[in-house]
Formats: sequence, C-alpha cells, structure tokens
Amino acid sequence: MTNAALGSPEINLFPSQRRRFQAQRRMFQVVEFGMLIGLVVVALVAMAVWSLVMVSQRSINSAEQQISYLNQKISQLSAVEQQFQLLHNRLDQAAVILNEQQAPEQKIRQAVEMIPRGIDITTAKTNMAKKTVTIQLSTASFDIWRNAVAILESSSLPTIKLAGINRAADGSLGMTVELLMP
Amino acid sequence: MKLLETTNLKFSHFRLMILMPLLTGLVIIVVAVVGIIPGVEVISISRKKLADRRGVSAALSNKAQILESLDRSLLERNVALMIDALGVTVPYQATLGKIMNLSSRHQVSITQMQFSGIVKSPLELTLEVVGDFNNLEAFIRSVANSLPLMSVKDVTLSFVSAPDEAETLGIYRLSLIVGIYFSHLPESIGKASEPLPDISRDLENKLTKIRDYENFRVTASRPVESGSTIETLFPP
Repeated sequence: MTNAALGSPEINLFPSQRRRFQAQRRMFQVVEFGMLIGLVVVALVAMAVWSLVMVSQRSINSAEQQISYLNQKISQLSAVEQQFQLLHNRLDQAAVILNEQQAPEQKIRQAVEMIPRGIDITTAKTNMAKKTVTIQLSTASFDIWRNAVAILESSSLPTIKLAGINRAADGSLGMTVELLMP
Repeated sequence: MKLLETTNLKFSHFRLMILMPLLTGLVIIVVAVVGIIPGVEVISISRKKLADRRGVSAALSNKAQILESLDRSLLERNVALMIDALGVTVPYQATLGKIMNLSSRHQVSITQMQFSGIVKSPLELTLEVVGDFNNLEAFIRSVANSLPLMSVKDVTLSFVSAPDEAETLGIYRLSLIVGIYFSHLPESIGKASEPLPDISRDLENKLTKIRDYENFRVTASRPVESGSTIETLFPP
C-alpha cells in the first residue's frame, strides 16, 4: 500500500508507522460502521415500537367501536333483558320459599296416627322451628292412658317428652306430650 | 506542515474513537428515552386496555347472543307465571280466591281469616278451618302447592267431634298460620356490561315445579248482577 492509497501522499511514513496507521484506520472504519449500525438499529426499533403503538391504538379503537355497537344492540334488547332479569329475580326468591316449605300437615298426621284409639286428641300443635308436635290427650280410663304411654314409648320414630298429666273435673285424665319429629 | 498533519491525525483519532461514539451513544440514549421507552410503556398500557376492551366486548357479545336466542313468547309466559307466583304487591284478591276455591274443593269450612302483622313479605294470614282430618290435610297441602306462593308455618288441630264410622280421625278445627309471599320489582337490572345471571338447573327445576302448581290468578272482576246470590265465604 502506498502513501497515496492512505490519503496522505505528502507524508513519508516508516513501514511500522504505516502499519499502525493502517490498523488504526481499520479500527476507525469498524467503529464508524458499528455506530452506523447502532443508529440504524435504534431507529428501526423506535419505528417498530411506534408502529406497534399505532397498531394497538387502532385495535383499541376497533374494540371501542365494537363495544359501542354491542351496547347499542343490548339497549335494543333491553326489554328482553328486563324480563329475563325479572324472571331470574322471582325464580331465585321462589326457590328459597320452596326450599323452606316444611309440610307441617305430614308431621301432624304422623303424630296423630300414633295415638291409639280410645284416647281423644284435644289439640295437636306444630312448632316447626323446634320440629315438635305437642299433643294434648284425654281419656276416661287410666288403663287406656297407660297403654297409650307404652305405645308412644315403644315407638322408635319420635323422641317423647311427657310434659304434664292432670285429672279434669269430669274425672278424665289429661296428658300433654311433646313429640320431637324427625 | 508535518506538525499540522500529525495534529489532524490526532483530531481524527479523537473524533472517531471518542467523540463519535459519545455522540452516537447520546443519540441512542435520546432516541431510547424519547422514542422507545415511552413507546413500550404505551404498548404495555394499550395491551392491558385492549385486553380489557376485548373482555368487555366478548361479554357483551355473549350477552347479546343469549338475549337474541331467547324465546320471547316463552319468556313472557314464564315471567307472567312468576308474577302470579310472587306478586309485586300483597296478592289479597288472589289469596281470597285461592282459599275460597280450595275450601270448597276440599269440603272444609272457613270460620275465620285474619291478615296480621305489618305489610311485608311474608304477610301472615291466620286461618281457622273446620273439617275432616283428611280433607284438612289435603287443604293444607293444596294451600302450599298452588299460586300465589304461600307456606304453611304452623298448624294447630283442635278436636271438635269424635270419628263416626265413615271417618277415620274425626272432625277437627284447624288453625294455621300461612306466610303469603310477594316482592317489589327490582330497582335496577344492573349495567349493560354485566353478564346475565345464570338460571341454574335447580332454578329450572323449581320453575317446572311452579308450572305444575295450580294458579289462582286474579281475573277481571265482574259486576254483581241484580238478583244473583252472593257467595258466602263463611258458611253457617
């Protein structure tokens, strides 16, 4: 390589100097190229980023338009929605009511049918909160009364609580039993 | 001249090895700070916003699709049925019609009816009915299993007369406390973006059950014709 090729024809360089300058120049070229590439890459990245920003903005706008259209569509169907919501509202409450129904007449029948013939049922009263049926009985005969107690005691279904026994003015025996119904 | 050339070479070295990389680095930092970092932040925010909008859009689309697919005449019938089941006000007329009808059907006599307590759901109705035990039992069951919705809270059975040969358990006076249900209309049906509530299998079963109930809906009242006999609610 001549001095002219190095761009400085007036300077006479020693071979060692020339090699050093050639090495330096190659390094300068690499640095310049690197800087250029760096700038181009950064510019491309910036452009890509802002392109993505624009694309996402357009997607958001498109989604907004879709939402606006769907909102309009739903507002046109608001009468149907109102009916559907009303149906659900009533149905939800009705389900709670139906689930809470306890059929007290079944408890009364179950209890009344346990009382043997010969004993009069004065009253039978349910207390669904306590799950009990309280029955007031009366009978003229102590033997029938004792028999009734034996039958009630032998029953496996309800738990019996004998609440009280009294003798009425006409001589009949009265008894109050509380049956805990399953 | 040689000194000048050397100085030029040194400046060129300084320019290329220090100044230019510094300037380039600065440019890269400026572009990154001004262009890329805010851009990436905007993209991040936009992605969240877009995901949110897409979610809303999907929910609305789903809702619109469901609303469009509903059989409107069936929906109207079901709503009318549920309003009969659970009125928006106290169903006095429907209750009276139901009790009269059922007492006549089950051959029991009503001796007293009293609405008590404050007017809120369930409104308490105390009924006194006289009849055969089996009929009374059927009457209670019918009261609970017909529209408008009522539930029998507690019953008291009092002995009236001993059973004769035709009866199994005798004649009783039945005092029962009935809860009559009603519910005001909901104040709001919620936002358009909120999904429709789900009608579960259990609710569908309940709807089927209610559809099978006898409905004592209020019909338009007719004027009493002259000379016609007036039905007695409480027979002697």
